[in-house]
Amino acid sequence: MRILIADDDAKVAEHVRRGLSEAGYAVDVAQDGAEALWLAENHKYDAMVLDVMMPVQDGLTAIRQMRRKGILTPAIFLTARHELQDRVRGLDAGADDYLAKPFSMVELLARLRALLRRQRAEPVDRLRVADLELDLLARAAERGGQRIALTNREFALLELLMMAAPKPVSKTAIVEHVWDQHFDSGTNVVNVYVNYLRAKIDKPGLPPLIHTVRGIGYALKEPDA
Amino acid sequence: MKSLRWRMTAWFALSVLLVTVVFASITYLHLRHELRYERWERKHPEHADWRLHGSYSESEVDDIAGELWRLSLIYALPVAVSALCIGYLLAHRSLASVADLSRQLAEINARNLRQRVQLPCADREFEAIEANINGLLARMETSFAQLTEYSANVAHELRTPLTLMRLKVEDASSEIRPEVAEALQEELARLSEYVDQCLLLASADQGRLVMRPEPIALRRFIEEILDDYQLWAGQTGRTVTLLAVDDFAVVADCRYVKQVLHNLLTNAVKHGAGPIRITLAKDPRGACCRIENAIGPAAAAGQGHGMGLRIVRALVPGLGCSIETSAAGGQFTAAVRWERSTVSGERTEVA
Repeated sequence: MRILIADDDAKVAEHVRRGLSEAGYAVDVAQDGAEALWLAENHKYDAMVLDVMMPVQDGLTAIRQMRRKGILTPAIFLTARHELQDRVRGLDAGADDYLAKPFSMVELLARLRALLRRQRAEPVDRLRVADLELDLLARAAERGGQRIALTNREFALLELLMMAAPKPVSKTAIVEHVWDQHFDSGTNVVNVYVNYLRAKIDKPGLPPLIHTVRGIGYALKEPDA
Repeated sequence: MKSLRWRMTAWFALSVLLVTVVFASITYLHLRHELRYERWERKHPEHADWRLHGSYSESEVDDIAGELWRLSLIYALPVAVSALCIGYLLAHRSLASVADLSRQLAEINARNLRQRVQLPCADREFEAIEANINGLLARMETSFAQLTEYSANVAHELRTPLTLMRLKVEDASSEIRPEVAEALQEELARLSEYVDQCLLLASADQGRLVMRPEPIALRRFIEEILDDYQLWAGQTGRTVTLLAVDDFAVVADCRYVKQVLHNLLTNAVKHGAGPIRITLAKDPRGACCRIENAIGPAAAAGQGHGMGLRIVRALVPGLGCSIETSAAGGQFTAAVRWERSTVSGERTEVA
């Protein structure tokens, strides 16, 4: 899988490149929209990660020109502009997804995987880790064939952990995606919800799947993974 | 406030009446004078060469002048009413361009600053006003675009290093002490939140927030978010309770209503003490959501930068509501008040 990154901030681009490389992707980096356009015209990429605000040519102009030239590679926008109209503008220009800065590498990887799955028309309605299964359409969870009743918030939390599995998800990322309002991440609310989820998923006698990764956050993985 | 239309009407009517009174007075005085000194001459009906000479007596003069005075008084009222009506119509026509200008200006907001005012049927005097207002709008449009661009650049400049820091902390979190990594993550999250709040405040202050009003059943809306605050407050043994005296819906943008409630409840949990009470009730002015709690030691000591409340104050005008706060007797109360026009009936079944 080959990914094109375009970001004028060399340090951010380097971190994203390293994160994607570690996840097994081949990565090319462009420093502005014009270079990204040139690379996209001359190489075949499976996906693109483009910053919106770049010198010479911004991400919006670059993606518009790519789409006009018939380059339909799926693209995720990285942007510091969080307002609804900015997101709409980005998606209307031809992007497939939108990730607001500051973002977590785990989330970028999860979105990239989802984008690539959609490209390959793979079903994305079920997530599975060990014997835990999450049906995204029916909004139902099962472990070892046993149905687990979850509240909306527990479902969203489990979905996030399963999308990122086996990588850990930070408390900040959990707050950002499970709660639509930014809680003070110093509060215990995330821990309480993780404990609620633990009580339902990791019942006595079953190998625990939800792990606390100190200094990082929480991970959902098989005990020996 | 004085109305220019009524003032113009009054000026016109008074002018007409003044002219009429002056004219009538001159006529009256002149007539009296003429009647008093005029001599009349008549032929005798039977003797053609006989001439009869005479003059009006004082009582006859008074009688004729009195008749004139009485007639003047009878016609004074219709003349005054006619003068007022004609004056009002003239004032209305003269000020039609001002009303048109005012209507066009009222339609211009942050989202359609490209619009310009047009007064095609206005008098020549309004051409300069039209040109000056359009010039002002053009300058505002330019400044607003620069401000928006500036905010976007600030967001970019602040969030890009935050992204880098977050990626670095995530990268290094397995190599540094867990408690240091956790602390760094928390501080980064706090910093990101602060940046978001500053940018939200700037957008609200500049009127750049795009509102999407919809009916919100407030009791249900608060119940949906209450769990989190109950959990949070519960960590310090405090409670959050909702008392819905009335069930009503308000028309506002639910994202920003949630932001207002979030900021007020966050303040209550972080800076308050004791139980937190949320009360929803209608009153003759509309409806009110009241959040009450005891003042905590941190707030009493003047800690906290007041950003949450500032954001609330910046958001409420766009939500069609107002915020009143009071701190008395060791008790803090924040009341979000919706005017009657934005409150709809009971139990509106909406999201």
